[in-house]
Amino acid sequence: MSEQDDDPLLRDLARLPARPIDDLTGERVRRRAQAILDEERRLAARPWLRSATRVWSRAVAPALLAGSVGFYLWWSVSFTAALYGSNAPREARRARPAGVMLASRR
Amino acid sequence: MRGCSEHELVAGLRRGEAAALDEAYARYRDRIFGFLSRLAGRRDLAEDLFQETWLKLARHATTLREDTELGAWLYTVARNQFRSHRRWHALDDQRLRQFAATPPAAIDAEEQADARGALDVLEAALASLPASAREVLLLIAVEGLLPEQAARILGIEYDAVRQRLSRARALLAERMEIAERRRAAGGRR
Repeated sequence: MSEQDDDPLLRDLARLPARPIDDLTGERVRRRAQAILDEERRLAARPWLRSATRVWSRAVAPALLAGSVGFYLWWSVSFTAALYGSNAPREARRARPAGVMLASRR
Repeated sequence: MRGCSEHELVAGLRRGEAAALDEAYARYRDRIFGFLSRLAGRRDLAEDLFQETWLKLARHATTLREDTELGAWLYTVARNQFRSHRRWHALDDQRLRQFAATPPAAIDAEEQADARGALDVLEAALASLPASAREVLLLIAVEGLLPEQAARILGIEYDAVRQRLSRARALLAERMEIAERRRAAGGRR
């Protein structure tokens, strides 16, 4: 005996109209799922490809990404330091008063 | 694969057969979407969660266990997708509620209660319930699953399902009464 049999409220719930998905969306989802299943089947046929894909997506690709970001940050910081660092004495010289400049030349 | 048993269907999915996926899709597509659309309360969100559910089946089809109950598996994934969506958007919902004078569910129930027919009132009252009450009613009363199947899907004990069902039913009856009273008051005006 199911829950609905002895409860009118639950029986009414069972009579609620179906809410089907529209055909266009339904077909799109079905095709995407089929494409993924197809990919999974190909991977299942070649276990080495599956593990290679896993290693690539879980270790190699994140490491490459992190490495590239790290290298870019290091390069941009050192480039900025080189650019402004080499200009700094010139800027400082410019800022010094003329008398001090003459005194320092002597 | 049409008309095959659930066991054969799972075996076909484990072999990665396209026909098995098509048959599973034909069997469960509308049920899973109906469950999700009533659980999520929004069609666009239900469509996203529905797609994620089926893509997950496609990704895990070849690694399913032989004794998998496909229907229960799909409902479990669909429910987990919804819970995970809610977790991610909990902050947004809380912000929205801060700006709202009444909770959104109550507004929906009130608006929808004006609709004609007892089933519309029931639908509105169901939509106004908290998700934990709604999901147990959807699984057992609307989808017609057994309490033990619902217990596996919800990840709780059989007795806990019975208790939750009883509380949800009482809450639904209460909301129905409120909705009916509002409808009657609206009709008199």
